[in-house]
Amino acid sequence: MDETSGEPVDEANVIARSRSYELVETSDGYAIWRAGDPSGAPLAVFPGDDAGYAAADRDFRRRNRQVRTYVILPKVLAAVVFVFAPLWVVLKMTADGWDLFVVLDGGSLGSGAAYRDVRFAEGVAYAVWLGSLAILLALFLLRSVDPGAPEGR
Amino acid sequence: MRIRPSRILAWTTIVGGVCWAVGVIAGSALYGVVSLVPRLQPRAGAELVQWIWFAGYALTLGSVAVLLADHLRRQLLGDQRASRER
Repeated sequence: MDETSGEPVDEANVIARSRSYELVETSDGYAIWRAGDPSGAPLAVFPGDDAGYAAADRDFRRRNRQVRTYVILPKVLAAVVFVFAPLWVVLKMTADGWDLFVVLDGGSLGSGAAYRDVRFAEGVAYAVWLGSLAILLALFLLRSVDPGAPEGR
Repeated sequence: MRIRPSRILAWTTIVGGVCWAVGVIAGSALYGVVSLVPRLQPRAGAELVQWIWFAGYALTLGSVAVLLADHLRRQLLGDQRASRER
């Protein structure tokens, strides 16, 4: 694969397009451009034969996979932590406060179905934010050792 | 004046950490007192201390989780942006 400057992308030559990249057929072969940046240099160019097309297609898919893994997934996981961690704090304080009031009230409040629901929700929220944070941390570590991770490293 | 979420989270972490520490110390002291004087039954007080302890723990852990998630997200997306600019 050769990284050279190429010609501007002709709309008719775009073979495949994603939110981040465009796979384009040029007069010299195949090239991958960043989406919405037709005047810039291609990220990678490939020969115009079948092997070149296969390599270009493979590279296009790999780059899109990386975007999903290192851009979209972290956003989703962080959003999950932003929602579920505060929710867990509130649910835990509520459930523990419930325990306290049961004692202060001499046990008349009881620990019925509503209490069990709050405890269950607390457990679920805890598992969700902790799991998401663990995956986010794993992605961060993976990103630092992934040899094929985003271009320009 | 604009209040940044990270500043709020930093404060909730500090407040939670203090509550946690106070809860642990007070809980341990209470446990010690009850062990020494078995006829004392500080049930409500112990529950209150335990609530402060757990609330502090939850507040600290939750705040740190959000801060860490935001940091990791920024790192991952920042790396992408930096590599694009290169």
